[in-house]
Amino acid sequence: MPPKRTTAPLPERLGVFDVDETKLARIKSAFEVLAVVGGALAIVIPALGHVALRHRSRLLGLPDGFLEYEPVDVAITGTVVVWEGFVRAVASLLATDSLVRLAWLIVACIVAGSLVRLRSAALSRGVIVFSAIAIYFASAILFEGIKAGGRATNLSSIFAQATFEMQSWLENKGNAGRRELAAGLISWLLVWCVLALRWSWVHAKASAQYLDKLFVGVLSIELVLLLAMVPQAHAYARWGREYPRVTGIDPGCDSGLVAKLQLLSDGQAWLVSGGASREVLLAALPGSSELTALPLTHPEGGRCAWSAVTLEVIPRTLSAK
Amino acid sequence: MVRRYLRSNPSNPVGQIVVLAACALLSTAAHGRTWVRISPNALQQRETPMQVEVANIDATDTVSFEVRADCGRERSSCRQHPLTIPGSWREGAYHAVVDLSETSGIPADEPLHLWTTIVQGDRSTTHATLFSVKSNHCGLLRTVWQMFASGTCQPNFGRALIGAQFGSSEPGSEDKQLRIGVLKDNDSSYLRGTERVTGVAWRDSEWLLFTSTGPKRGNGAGLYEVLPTGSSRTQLFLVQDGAPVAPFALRSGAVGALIRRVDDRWEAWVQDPPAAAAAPNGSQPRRIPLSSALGESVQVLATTPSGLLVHFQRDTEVLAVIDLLSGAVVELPFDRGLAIRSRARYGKYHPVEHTDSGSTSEGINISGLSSQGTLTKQFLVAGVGDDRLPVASPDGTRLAWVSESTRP
Repeated sequence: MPPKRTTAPLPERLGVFDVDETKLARIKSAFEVLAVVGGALAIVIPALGHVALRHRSRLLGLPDGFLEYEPVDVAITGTVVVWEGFVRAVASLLATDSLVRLAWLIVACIVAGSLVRLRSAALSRGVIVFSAIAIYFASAILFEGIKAGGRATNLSSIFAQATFEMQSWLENKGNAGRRELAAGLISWLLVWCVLALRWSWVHAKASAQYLDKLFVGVLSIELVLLLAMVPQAHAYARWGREYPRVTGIDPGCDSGLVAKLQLLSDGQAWLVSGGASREVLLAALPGSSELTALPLTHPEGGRCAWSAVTLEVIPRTLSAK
Repeated sequence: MVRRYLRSNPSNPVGQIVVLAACALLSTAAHGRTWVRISPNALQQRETPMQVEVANIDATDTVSFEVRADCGRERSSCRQHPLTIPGSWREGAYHAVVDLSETSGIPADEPLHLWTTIVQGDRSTTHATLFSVKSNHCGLLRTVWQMFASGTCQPNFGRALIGAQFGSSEPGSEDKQLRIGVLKDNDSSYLRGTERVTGVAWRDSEWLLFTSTGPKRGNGAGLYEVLPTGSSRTQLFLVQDGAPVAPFALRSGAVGALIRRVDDRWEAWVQDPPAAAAAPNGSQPRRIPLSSALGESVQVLATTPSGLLVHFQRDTEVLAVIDLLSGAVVELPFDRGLAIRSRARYGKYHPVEHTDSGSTSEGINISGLSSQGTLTKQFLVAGVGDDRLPVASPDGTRLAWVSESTRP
């Protein structure tokens, strides 16, 4: 005998002119989120671009503001900083350098932290403490290495070693991959820091202990530090000190400069302006072992310098002539 | 132009890939500029040879190297460190190996430049490559521990934990070390506390002498004696301003070593036995400046009451006699061959360093040379890494050598 068919009550259907308040509220909240995210990006992306371009100048030893950029170039650079941050994070897991193990270690910590968080509050606190400490040391070492300061002369401390090693990635040919890897590590540290901050925030809300609130404060400071390192790491990885060598100068630009540059036996001049508003050369002028920045302006608004296709590392120490 | 295109089209990955591929093709087609790369990285370990590669040059070009201090000025004003770097052509590039363990004149912990001069016809170009020799190369995670715990670099901690170093996984991070191996009755063992050994000799049938650049964390370069079991290691004298190589024991009971000073001058340090020493404690060695410099891989082949027969590498192999009274070094005309390395016998064989390209064992191994001049088919000592400087004990029952083995 076939079972009796029962009829379930149909949901109340909305009329053509009725409004689903729930859906409307969701759309409104989505718009609010988009507005907040968009507003934040409108501030953060140009800021990232500005800082990244400033660090590019510092890597060359140029003063801030020497290279000027259009606002759209700054915004595009900021977008590229964010995008390439993701790309470098993924690429760092596939690198061949031994530092790749550190990237995998951070990923493993992220995964382990995600699992542990769900099971035990004590373990979770342990992970957060470990995260705060590890992020501090790793970012401090990477920061020491990435910052474009003078070279360490006493290599006894690990910070000096890190600085020296990462300086060599700037100066010695063939280290672009390692620079990308270092930037990828900072992306992973940033992910780790955000997650650790989220976990500690959840615990701090449910806990009355000051220690949990202290973790939130410490990790917030770490996050700010790491965010500040992102554009720096981008400049280090993307540009470093690799620029095209100048192969020719338009004689109509600056006759005095052209005469000076012609004296260079091996054309020791590099076009470093990139996307800046005016062309700038970094050149070793006769009689000087220091590099000099030379802005070029074409009287008719055209290009002054021609450069090679391939990039070269601009040497910090110049050959004797 | 390319950069401007890439900047203005950030959301067009296909276009970016096409443009970058075209650039890559163009750069490949264009004649590449020469460049120099050192491996594993800028921070070099003294125990690991530094690999130098010079690319994009022709076989007719000439390459020369100089190591100078990184003084931030022109090359000629930077202090030069003596160095001989052999090289060879392989796979379209010039490859050179810098054996830092034999170049004691190069200071540790200082920024240096490897200047490479390439002469192509009438054109000469130079490249400066930044590097430094680290006596104590700490990895990243070790450092974290260091900051918490000890305040000093603990090389073993990070190795055990992850092995992450700033160096790459290329030759530098390979965990090799030099130490003394001892063979007796076909049973070999490695002596703890003999790390960074630079030479080994028998004082008598019971005691081994060895020179080291510092058996413990790079500290304490000098001459040591140790029992073949590895126990009772004693420091005979310290060397502050140079690297000791080639230990020796004279028939008078005196012991000593040849010292390469940091200014690349050579000395023989001889410590008389306590009974014959003028000083009450007999611990201060006599320093005998040598009349001329020796080379790399110095070995003492035989001793006389007042002299040494030594073998070393310069441009070619050199056999010389050192007079320990005057310090005179007299180079002998000699026809190179295995016989110069045959000394006391181990069993019925003279131990010799031997490379067999057809063997499954890597590097240099130690074989036995019979009195009839035939080489045994079986290695006395073989394994991963080079095994060098074999010396048999006076009674012929033991064989000691310097082993470049991988840490177990």
